[in-house]
Amino acid sequence: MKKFTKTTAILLTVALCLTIFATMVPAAVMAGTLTMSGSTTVQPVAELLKDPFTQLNPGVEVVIAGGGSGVGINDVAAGSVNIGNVSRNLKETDPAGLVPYTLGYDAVVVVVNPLNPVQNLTKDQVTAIFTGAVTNWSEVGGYDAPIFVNRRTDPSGTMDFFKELFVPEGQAIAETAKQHESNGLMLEAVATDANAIGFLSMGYLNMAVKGISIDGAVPTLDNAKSGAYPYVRPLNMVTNGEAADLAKAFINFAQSPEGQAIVSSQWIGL
Amino acid sequence: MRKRPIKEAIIENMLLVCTVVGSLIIFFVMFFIFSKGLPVLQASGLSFFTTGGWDKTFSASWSAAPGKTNWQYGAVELIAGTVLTSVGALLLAVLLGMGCAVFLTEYCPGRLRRPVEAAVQLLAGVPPVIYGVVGLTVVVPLVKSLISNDLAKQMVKICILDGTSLLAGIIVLGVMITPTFVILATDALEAVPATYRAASLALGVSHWRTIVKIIIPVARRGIMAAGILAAGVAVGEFVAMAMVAGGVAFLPNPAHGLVFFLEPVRTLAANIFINNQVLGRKDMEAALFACASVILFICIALSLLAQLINRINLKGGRPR
Amino acid sequence: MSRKIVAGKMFCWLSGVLTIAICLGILIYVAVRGAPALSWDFISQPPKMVLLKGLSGGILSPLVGTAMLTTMSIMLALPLALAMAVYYAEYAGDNWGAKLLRLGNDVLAGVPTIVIALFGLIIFSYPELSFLSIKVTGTASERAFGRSFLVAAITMAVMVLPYITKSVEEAIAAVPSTYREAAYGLGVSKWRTIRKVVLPAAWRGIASGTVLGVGRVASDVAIVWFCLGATLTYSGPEKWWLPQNWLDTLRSAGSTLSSYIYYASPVGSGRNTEKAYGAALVLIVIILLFNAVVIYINHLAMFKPKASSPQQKAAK
Repeated sequence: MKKFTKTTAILLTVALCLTIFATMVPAAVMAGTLTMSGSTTVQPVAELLKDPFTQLNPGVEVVIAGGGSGVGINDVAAGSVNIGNVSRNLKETDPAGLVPYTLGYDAVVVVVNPLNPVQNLTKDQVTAIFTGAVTNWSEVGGYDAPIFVNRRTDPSGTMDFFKELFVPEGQAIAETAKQHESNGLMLEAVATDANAIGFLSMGYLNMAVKGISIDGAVPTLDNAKSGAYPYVRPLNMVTNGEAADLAKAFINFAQSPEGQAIVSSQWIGL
Repeated sequence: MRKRPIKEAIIENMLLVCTVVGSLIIFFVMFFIFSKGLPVLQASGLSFFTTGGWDKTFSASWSAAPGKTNWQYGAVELIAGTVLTSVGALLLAVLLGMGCAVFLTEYCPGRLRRPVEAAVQLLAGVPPVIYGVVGLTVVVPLVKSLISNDLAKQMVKICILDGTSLLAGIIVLGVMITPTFVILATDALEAVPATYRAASLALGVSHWRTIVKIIIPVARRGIMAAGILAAGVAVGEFVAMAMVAGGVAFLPNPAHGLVFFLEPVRTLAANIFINNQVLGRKDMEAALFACASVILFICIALSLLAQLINRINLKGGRPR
Repeated sequence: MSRKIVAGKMFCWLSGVLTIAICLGILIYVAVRGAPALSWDFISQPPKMVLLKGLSGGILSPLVGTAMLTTMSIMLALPLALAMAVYYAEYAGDNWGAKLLRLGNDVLAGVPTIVIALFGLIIFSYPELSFLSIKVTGTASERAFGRSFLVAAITMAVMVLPYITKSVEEAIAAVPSTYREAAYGLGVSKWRTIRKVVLPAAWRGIASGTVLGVGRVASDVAIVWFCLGATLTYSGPEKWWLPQNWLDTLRSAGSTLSSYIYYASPVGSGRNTEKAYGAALVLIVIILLFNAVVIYINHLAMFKPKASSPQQKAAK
């Protein structure tokens, strides 16, 4: 009896210690500040994931800055953030040693002004318009009016993806094209000019602009999810080397079923 | 000579220390900007100021293979864009603002004056992005109505004529910097001692002549300072300029006649804003800081010019 | 001759009325567009970044951010600016050293805020300065995050320092030298003359210089966007009002009304124009209140007995 209580006591103590240890260990690991910056397309995804993540890990602070994909790449390469958000595939011109983790996908849509009668373009027509080979809407079924090409600046993830899809190697976007710093500026430019054409992340489509079907593929979220609209790009979280600690935990959470439920509410899940 | 009280000496030295510290900060910022831009300015030399093709070079640098850097850029379009928009806006602001300042100090009914001044001061605090949005919804369509479909079609291979233009930039920028100018110019006019005006009027000089010959010349140091600060604001405005002046680094061609004013421009500051994402790519970052250095040169030139004008006609100025 | 005078008068009236009309036009436009967004929830709720539905929530944290950032940067810049302006105007004289320093001041006053913002972001990312923001651990170089209220406030202070210095110096220089001579003649020392005669006489100019400075800080987007995190959500401790949390609060990223307006405007990613105009209206009301306070203090100063008002002194 005496021996039994002693064993029980030891067992209990060990169990207690283990329990405390078990609760202590994750708490000790999961504390601190996780910093990220970059793509304005990934930023809202991260913002949505942040609250449930910090509820699961109360000791963690998550700081999410924007800036654009270029900022994300450069910041994570320089080591001033843990995660760089990038809304495109990594390229060989990016700094070495970066590892991307995909959270979901986002569609890119070619847009025109709602007053423009053009509904559908072929992929070749899009290429011709943006490289400056076609400069009048009448050549692609619109009014007799000039085409005003709008583009994003080079570091933009959307621009990069658009070039990958529609601008063949060796060709360049027309030099007369207006350059915009953000999706918002692009949207505003296309929404206020009947002759304008540009491209946007699908999240930005609204009544002010009209999404163009490409080769008959209609740009809607459902079509993008089903694959009927194929022009989708990855939303990446990039780390310098393999993701570790907090960054790894956040990315794991984003890729978990719970995180994916949040992603696919407004974007395209994995 | 009486010995100066020790307290006076301490205060003077404390002020001196503050001034030195403040100036060190100021010069450090300027030195930092210049040193960051120097590699590109050195590599490009004079061609930075005389050649163009900014967008093309910048694109090429971005997609260059890793490790390959390009330090040669030409920014003539951006410099021209900055000078054209700023000079135009300053002319507009001085024209409007001088009249407004004289109106406020000399003609405005006393009771109206405080509210009007407060409204003008408020406007200096409206965020630039609001000017940009209002400019895009009000000014740009107005400019667009000047452009015919045929003209736009004819020019589309050269540049986009969609209303976002030099003219729209000048108008929006002019309206933006007018409040700054009016506030400071009003202060300068008000600082003219009332005795000067009274003396002039007592000699039988008309009110208008007193304004033109006595009050404005006496206040000119302050007015010039107002102009320089307003010009500084104009040179540095970027959000609104990125929105209404056209997003292309294009050099407006005077050979096109009046179409010149309808052609797009991009200012140095707007260029830095539009391309801010390249920070971290050493060569492109240096190119942006080279743009910033050019803005520094412009500001230095402006300040030197003001001092020069000040020295040339010293007589009649208020005592310093 | 008289025709010229009439034309001149007409021009002044016209440009005065036109400028006022433009001012009122923009203010009324913002007020009309922004008024529908105003509600208690708008003021008392933090913003939420939701992409598809556009921005939702209120402006609580940007509002607090603007108050914090403006107070901090003016508190940093104003004392130094006053000291520099007094030194330039009263002590420095006209030698080449003073000229060089003044020139530097003038030049930086014209440098775009975007350039100063880049300067701030780059400087404060150095690991040695990580105590001002967040130290990024777990990366190879362990650089600083480089974005925080402290970083933004210091950068803002650098931005407005030359601006305020310049307008205060102008105001001090505009005080007629007869005032000083009268004081010296009475045997008053130089510093006492400055404190009791020159500064009170220059009050108006100092006040409007400061108001302009506050306006620049409150309406600036670039420094907030680059040095405060290009975000809307405040990332610091929840109970920011507890004293032990103050330092962490100052080292956190956040937003201000101007960055909120930028984000919510058609230009940014929030796309809720109504809320952008609502926030712009709130910002204008804040600047209006600030103006009113300055005018009120000014008013008090004017009616202080004897020493404060040189006009009254001169009249005696």
